[in-house]
Amino acid sequence: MDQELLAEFLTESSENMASIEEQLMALESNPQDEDLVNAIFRVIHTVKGSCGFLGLSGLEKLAHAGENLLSKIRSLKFAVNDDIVSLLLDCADGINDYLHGLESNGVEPVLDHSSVISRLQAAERLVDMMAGAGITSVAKEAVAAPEPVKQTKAPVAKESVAGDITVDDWAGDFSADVRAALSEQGWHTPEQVIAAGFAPLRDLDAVEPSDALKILGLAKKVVSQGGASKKNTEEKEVVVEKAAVESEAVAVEATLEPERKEPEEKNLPAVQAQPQAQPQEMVQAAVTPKNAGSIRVDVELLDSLMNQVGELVLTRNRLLAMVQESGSMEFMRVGREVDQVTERLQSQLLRTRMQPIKTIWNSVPRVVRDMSKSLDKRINVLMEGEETELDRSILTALKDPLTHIIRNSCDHGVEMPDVRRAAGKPEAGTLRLSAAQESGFIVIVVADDGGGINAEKVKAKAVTMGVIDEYVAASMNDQAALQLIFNAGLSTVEKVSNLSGRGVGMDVVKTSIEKVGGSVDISSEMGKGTQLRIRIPLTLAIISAMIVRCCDKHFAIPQISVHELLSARASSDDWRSIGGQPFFRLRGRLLPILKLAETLKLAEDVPHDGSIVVMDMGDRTFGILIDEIYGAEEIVVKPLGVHFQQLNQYGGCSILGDGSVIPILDCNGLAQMMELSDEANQAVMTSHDEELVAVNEMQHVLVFKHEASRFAIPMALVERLERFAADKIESSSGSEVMQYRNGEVITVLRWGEMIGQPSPDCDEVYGLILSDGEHRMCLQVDEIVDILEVPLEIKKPVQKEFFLGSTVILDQVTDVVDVFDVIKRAVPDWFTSTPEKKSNHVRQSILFVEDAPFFRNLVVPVLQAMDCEIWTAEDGVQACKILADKVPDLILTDIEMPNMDGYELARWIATQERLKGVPVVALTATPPGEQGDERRGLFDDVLVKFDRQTMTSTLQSMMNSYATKKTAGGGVEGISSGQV
Amino acid sequence: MGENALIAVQPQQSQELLTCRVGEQWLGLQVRQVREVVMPQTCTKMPLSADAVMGLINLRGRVITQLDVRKVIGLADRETDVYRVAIVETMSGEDFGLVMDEVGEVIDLDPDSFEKTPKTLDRVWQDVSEGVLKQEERVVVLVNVERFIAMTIPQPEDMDELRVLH
Repeated sequence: MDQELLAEFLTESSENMASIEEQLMALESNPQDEDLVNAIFRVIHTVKGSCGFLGLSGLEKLAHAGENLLSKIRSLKFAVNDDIVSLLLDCADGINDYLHGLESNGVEPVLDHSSVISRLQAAERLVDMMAGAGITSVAKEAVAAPEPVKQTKAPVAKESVAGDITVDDWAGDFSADVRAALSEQGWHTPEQVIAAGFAPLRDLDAVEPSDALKILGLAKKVVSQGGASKKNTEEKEVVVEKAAVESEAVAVEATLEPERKEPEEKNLPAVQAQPQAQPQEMVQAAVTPKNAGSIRVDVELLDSLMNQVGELVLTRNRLLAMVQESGSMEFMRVGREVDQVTERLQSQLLRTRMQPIKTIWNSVPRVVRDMSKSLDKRINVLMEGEETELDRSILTALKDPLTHIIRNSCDHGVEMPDVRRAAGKPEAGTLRLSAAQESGFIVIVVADDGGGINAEKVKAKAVTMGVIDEYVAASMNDQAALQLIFNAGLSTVEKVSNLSGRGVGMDVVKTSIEKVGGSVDISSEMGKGTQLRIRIPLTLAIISAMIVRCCDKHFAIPQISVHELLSARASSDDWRSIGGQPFFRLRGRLLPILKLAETLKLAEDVPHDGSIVVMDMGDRTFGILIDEIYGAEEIVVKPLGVHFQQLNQYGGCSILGDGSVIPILDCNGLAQMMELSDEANQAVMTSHDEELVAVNEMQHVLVFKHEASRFAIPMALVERLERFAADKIESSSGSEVMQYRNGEVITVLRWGEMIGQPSPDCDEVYGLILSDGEHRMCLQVDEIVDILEVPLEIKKPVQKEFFLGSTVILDQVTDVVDVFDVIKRAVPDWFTSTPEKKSNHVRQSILFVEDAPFFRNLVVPVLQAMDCEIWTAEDGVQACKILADKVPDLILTDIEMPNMDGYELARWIATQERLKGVPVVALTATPPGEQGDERRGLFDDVLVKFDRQTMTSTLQSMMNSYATKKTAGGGVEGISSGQV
Repeated sequence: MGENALIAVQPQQSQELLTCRVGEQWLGLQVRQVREVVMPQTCTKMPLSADAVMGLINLRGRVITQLDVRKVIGLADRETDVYRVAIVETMSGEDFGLVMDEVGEVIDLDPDSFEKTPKTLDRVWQDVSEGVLKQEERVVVLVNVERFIAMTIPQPEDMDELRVLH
């Protein structure tokens, strides 16, 4: 039994049952109150309904009998008397017995309530008759009229004996009219109803559309429980007969001495059942009652609590600003405490609003099953990370878009079985849903292994729809073309099916995801499948935002779409202007720039000077030019008033620490404002390849300060910047550690201590979280200056520990930190933790060609960790010299190098007979996928710098396959044809 | 129920007004619609917003849109930075700050001196006033706050067009 469901059921039922006694009493004194009858009916009905789900057959029988009686009372508007009420109370007590047993043991207790059940059934028939005879009081007549009871036995039994399933057998919950209507149509069994379908059902006069749905649902449930309808009937038949026989006596008893006698009788079987229950209790000893300590809270109350905490966060920010100003130690201490309590309060309250994503994924298997049935496809569903939690308001908002995406994948993604077979794929397609938390965001991926999306088809469609022109289409890469799917009114399926693709589609998905602050993008590979990636914030109420200044105004930009920050001084030669549109050259691409001051009409003719916030909106990337970036802050999103409804540029507002109101920019709104001219558009599309060669090897470095000295550390391995209370650093067996997200414990090194200048104690410190995706450590520093993109030329190499040398950044001498030295100190086995055992194996060798000492320093330890012999060369010429008398197992080379670059080197290698087959891999700062044909042809593979895991695995597998071929072919020459 | 009882206790006609001055004109706001009157607050201007919107203020953690009454009725900009803000509540639940040159006192609405808005008064008042209160030396225009605020909300169509319609 699903313990979680059970706990839920128990919590809910216990609450409902607690009120039922009171309601029954109220009914006794006010027998005509229909609302009360309805309320009581609903409670019992819910209990019964859940039982079927949980497989609690005993409880179900009891609740079912109670429900039937109540249903009769309800539909006949029968005025109950105290006897019926006490019978119903007995029924409620019985239900409570079950619930208590379930709660303490986790399994359904074995109880015998057959007498209550038969009395309930007898009462039900009595009510029916009395109402029919126009008698409103049942009790005395029930005693005096045992004969009619017998009469009722006849018709019921007759029906049952006939062995036919009637509508009443399974759709008893619905009104007599509805049931009559169903029988009239000749739909007696649930199967028949399902066969008839929804539309004819709905069209019946007696059936409300909502009832039609319910009937269909019930019918499906009954059928899916494996022909339960028939079995139920048989069971019922037996019970009915027994009940009918007993009914006389019971009815008499019930009126004579109901309270006295019944409890005794009832208790007896319960006691007998004890020994039976005990062994179960022992087995189930580990199952603790889940229900304990949980209460149900009104969501509205939680929402209002959330608002209050939001206010508190803002007040806290203001308080801290004032405390800082006061300079009083006393205040600071109190301020810190307030700060910490607020933070805990906020995060814990946020947690109360979180629900696992499986609450909306639960319906997915069913949706996919129905879809695949109607499409004649076979689709399996795999779900990962169902426990990932999200704010409930976001979950609600995500449900529809997700269903749409899933339907799309089933309909358009996964191919028909015969097509799949022909393509050499398993007949059953797979739909994979995964959810995971990634630094403050939840990433949900929906992937299918279907036919993929034809980017050319999308382009062609976009051209016919007038979304783009042919020229733009021709210069568009596939990835960009795929994003066109999110454009309104674009559906690639030629045949519109009734399941998805009705013209409205992915654009609606995109807007609804963006509405909750998320983003979505799509990637696809022909023949392999399609993948949709949704990125959404954990919560809506509090977001992380960049605070920027433009002219004399401050704005907040939500962090979710901020990709990177650039300094773009007027003196920079990366500024371009095409068709009146400003661009900034960023790693060989032209980034269209939106001048915020002009867009918001704060100024005219804004100079090309300031900072650029690079926004990644999934389908497009652009930069917002502003004057200054202050930093990131957690802000509480507040809605804007009615006067700003027309302004798409704003997504809300917030209150800063100084009490001032700050507008939050809506990046989608801003993006819409930037309509690029055709000329400019083409420039963006075509800029990728032509400027690539001109890429200067720029490095993102983080500059930090200690005392008066400045240090630079490459951003490549910096995962995050954290600011935390100094007391978060704890001592553990001689070294310092801290708890990172998800409870991971990571080593902390203090920069000050490492260079022999310990810094004075302070309350709050900065930590650089260094990670290569596998290991993680924290480097504590005093003050962070900036993150810059600079050509990192090390001017004065040094042999000091922890340093590569010094360079000049921002006109200041800055020491460049050797990250690997630092990491080695913190995690000595960083590079040796995943060694692949190579017993008695000849050590493989790698020639590594790289001009920048900085990169050499980064890569060599990684290669060494692969247990390989490493030869290094500073440029192509040196490499040629080494290759003149050595043949490595792999050549790894940079592309941009003085004297002889990577291309030339590769061409030269190609001409050397001895080196045939040796894999040549290029190492580059530009991600693959955008490289020109030149690179593809010359190198066996192109890797991105710093992607350690990919690098290690790719290089290893290349060397291995080279080695195998070498041995198999008996010589190097033999394999030349095998290499691409 | 309690609310009804409270109203029943009071004479039907008696209403209190808060008088405010904008330029030369005295206005009357229903006291029950005015939450409070505050001093000038730090105001964040919102680029691209409608003319009447002076900006956003933070009133004890609530963000309130501040509307400059002078701008709405087409008066020249205020020369000093001395003004008062009447925080009014509306049926929609949103509160607004109405910027006035001066706030006077609370007066009883005397049914005898209450008259229909004279045609001679500025057009903008014809649209938003319930009538006027004639006092010895001044005329107080009774402002319907809901209508006044509705007038300042930018519409998808051109604002001027809307004014002509009125």
